[in-house]
Amino acid sequence: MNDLNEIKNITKKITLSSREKESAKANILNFIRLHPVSKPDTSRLLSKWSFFSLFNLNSKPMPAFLGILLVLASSGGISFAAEGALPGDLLYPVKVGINEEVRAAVSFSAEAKANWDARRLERRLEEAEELAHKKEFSAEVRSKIEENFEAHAERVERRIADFESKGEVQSAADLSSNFETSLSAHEKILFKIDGEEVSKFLPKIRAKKGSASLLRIKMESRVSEEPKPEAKEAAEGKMKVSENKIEEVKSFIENVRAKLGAEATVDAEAKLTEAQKVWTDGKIKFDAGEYGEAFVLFQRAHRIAQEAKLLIEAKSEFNIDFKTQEKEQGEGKNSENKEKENGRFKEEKANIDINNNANSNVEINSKSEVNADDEKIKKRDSGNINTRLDLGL
Amino acid sequence: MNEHEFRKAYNAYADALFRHCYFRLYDRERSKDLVQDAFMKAWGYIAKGREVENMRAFLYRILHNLIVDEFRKKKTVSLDALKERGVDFIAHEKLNQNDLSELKNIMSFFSELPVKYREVATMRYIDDLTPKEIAEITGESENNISVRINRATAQLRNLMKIS
Repeated sequence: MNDLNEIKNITKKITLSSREKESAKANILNFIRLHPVSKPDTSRLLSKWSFFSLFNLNSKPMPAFLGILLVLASSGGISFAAEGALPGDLLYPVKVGINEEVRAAVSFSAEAKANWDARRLERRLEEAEELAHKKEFSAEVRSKIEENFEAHAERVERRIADFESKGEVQSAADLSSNFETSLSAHEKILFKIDGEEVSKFLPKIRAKKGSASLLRIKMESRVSEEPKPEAKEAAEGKMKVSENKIEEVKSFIENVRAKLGAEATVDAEAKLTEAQKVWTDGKIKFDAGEYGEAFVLFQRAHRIAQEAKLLIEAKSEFNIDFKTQEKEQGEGKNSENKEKENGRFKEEKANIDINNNANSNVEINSKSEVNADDEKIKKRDSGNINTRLDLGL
Repeated sequence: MNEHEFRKAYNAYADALFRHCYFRLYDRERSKDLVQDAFMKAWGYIAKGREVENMRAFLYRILHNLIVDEFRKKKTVSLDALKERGVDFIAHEKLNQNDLSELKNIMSFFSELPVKYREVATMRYIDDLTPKEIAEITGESENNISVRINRATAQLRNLMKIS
């Protein structure tokens, strides 16, 4: 090659295969149809997206029946409507058995798959919260949710182990940290919402949280064991990610404060201040060349910030107050009380920010009724569908 | 912008976007994911009724940000790690030996550039974007970009020993 301008002639030979291209196009078109151009006030679109797919991305063809199911599910807005379903609803099996499975099949990379598994776990916890809030968390519901919860938690644990065995220590550390935060935040939320059956569910969450903590600590030490340049890169990456997270949560809190007043955000702001402090400590360690410790601190800052956000979201949604919680819970361990863990897989603020990269969800507050062909589809509130469309990876 | 136009945009740009992503991440699977994400995000923006003047640049911009975030999350993939894994771009493309070795050369030279230079070199020489477009995508001034392109070019020529 004689000239730099020839480079593109050679590199343009790298393309998507026609199958890959069509596959992705189908996914995207599905997504588009679920999100028609709408008035700005009826939909709030957030950063990261995922999608439904009719196609399997490996070379093996998708089983015909699944394809048919998907077509049925996607048409008439059924799969869309199913997103708001809770255990006990007619469409719940569509949500969990079809929508979520399809999304699982769709992701290309191990990271995307792992993130989705973690997100599914969170969905179970969110469902529990919604039901508990409505006082509909029965024993039957509990056993269903518990079953799914255990299954998803195990998948996440397996993902972490996978990453670890492949030497992808950072991915393992990330996932375990987010896993821990999710469990921690949602446990607090459920504890606050309370209920007879809820209190039976809590021990299971706590148990998982305990093992998640241990796992996270183990992964962090693996990162610390990496050779210096890798440890430095890991710490540096985490430094930026946690810095972004703190900024993101800061804006989010500001938005909430603007809507609900300063009283509502006092706790969250305190947490955020804590997150910033931990971050600064991390920076000091980083500058001193102590990359392992820096990594741990940056991760903790990330967790604290994320938890602040999860709690404040729950607060506004379920109108609960976390101020007294720490005293009530009395979990004993100092570190647990002080350490507010956070998760990565959560909703973000309303305005689309294409520069943001955290996983997030679409929240559609639609006042119109679901246009369901099937009259038997139960609507949670007549005439008012509050659908959280999960589009995070 | 409606579905039809969006579809056209997809047909027109998907390959180029994938290529761009691939030459920065060296990860085929991840690149596919990010390209899909980019289109989704783009649609999300459009579905809110917002106008997009230059769809191509818009898509590149979203993708670029996703890639930057990707780098922040994990350690950059070194070409050595890549070699260990076995370069995976061969999936379906029927590349002859000559093409293959040329591609490997290019990847090798590019990987020796500092990150910021690699970024603009990729956009300039692989994606064939103009400095103005690159500036729009990265959010930097056209001036900065032009300067960086010159420097990257010089380094690249040096590496490739082209006069």
